[in-house]
Amino acid sequence: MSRNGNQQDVKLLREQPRELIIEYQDIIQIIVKKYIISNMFHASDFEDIVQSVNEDLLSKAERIRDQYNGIALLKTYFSAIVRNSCLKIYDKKKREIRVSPLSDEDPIIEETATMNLAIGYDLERLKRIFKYYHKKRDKVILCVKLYFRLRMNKEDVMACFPACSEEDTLAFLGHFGTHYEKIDSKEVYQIVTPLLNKYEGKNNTVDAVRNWSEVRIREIIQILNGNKSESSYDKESLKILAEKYFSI
Amino acid sequence: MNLFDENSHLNEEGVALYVDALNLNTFEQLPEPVLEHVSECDTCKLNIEELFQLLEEEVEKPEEQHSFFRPRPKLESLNRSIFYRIAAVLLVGIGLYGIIRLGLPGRDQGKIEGSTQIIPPSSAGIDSSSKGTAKNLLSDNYAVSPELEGMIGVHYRSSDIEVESPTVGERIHGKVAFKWAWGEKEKVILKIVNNKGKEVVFAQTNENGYEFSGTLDRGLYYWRLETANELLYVGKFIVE
Repeated sequence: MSRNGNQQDVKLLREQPRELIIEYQDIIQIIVKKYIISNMFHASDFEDIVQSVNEDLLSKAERIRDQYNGIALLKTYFSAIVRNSCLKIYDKKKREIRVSPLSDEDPIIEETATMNLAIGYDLERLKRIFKYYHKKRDKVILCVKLYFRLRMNKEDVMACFPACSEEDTLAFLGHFGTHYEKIDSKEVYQIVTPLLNKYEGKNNTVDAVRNWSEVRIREIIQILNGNKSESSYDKESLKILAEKYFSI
Repeated sequence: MNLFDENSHLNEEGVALYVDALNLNTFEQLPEPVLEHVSECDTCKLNIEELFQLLEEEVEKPEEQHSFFRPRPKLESLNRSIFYRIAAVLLVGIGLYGIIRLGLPGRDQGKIEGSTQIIPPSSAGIDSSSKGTAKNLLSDNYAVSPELEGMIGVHYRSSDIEVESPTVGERIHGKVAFKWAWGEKEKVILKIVNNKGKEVVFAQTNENGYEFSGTLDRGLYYWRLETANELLYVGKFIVE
């Protein structure tokens, strides 16, 4: 890892962009290794991938310099470029990627502590993903809870609709403040849509609200899975994660 | 400041800036167009999340000041800032003096409900005083307290107290409703401390809840439930 400060690195970028790429070799290696861990590249391709990334970066060193405005930290900006370069290489190599089936010798993760660690990590990721929705965060949380039929509380309603009347809150919690697994999807959105429309000043149809929720669920799954060659999250596993998240 | 590409997505620097914000806990300082775009764009969410994960625990956390999130104020703006801060302190001082002289009660920091007893806070909420310069930016109010962070969510007694709200890290707008379930009849002490460990609210209750309707400045707060003899629970919430 470069020991220089951001200012020195920026100076190097401005004066000798190619030198900076050499200086930042450790960042390239870290990112390629992470992609190997996530099975996007095979471990035996490590040197080749690092070499390809270097070639790609050196070919556009001036562009890297010219497009950097000094707003983000240089290391983060550089990492974003390395990531894009890796994704480009991955697209090229897609057909050659070897995805090894689990052999008898591969460890099967069974230890509870390890699993707990993984769940804890994904809970943090889910928290961060909710954050990405910014002003819609509370609405997305409401939709996730409804989608997976998770119990609502008054705080959920108030966070989503700060102006919600006591009467509407009670009515809402009458439906969703308890177990409601048996209420089908259509009915859930028939109940919710008028409330959403009332407090958002909109006139959406039940299907539109249901679709919106569906899209958000798919989006969250996609972000959780990222560009991994093996998708690990589906609706069922997201439900488990969400249950855990909201039970804490 | 160009953070978007020709397709109106965040460019590489825009994604990097967002990741810096997550790492530095300065999310609220991101430009609104960036926040708005990301909230609507699954591609950018994915790019940010992936870059964040790639750098997580591997690439050194920035130690120096960030040029975007922690700008070094120019002399002129610094002087202006100090002027406003001194003025604010004087106004607060005059106000407090007036209240004391007239014998009027200050604004409630909380209300007494049933057997809930409020002891006036030892100090105002988050430290947004005029003492510091650039280091007293609002973002400081969101920095986690390493000391308290490790205590969060741990239940400290075998006869478990079940905390319903606020959930850990919940974002609060307005009143803070504390709710818990506990079978014991013992009096519970609720303390709210800011992210610097300064106690801002102290209340006692025999009930399984307490509503704080006073005013807290924006920032991160920790809260503790305890009896006269032991700690029962530590949680945190964010006032927005």
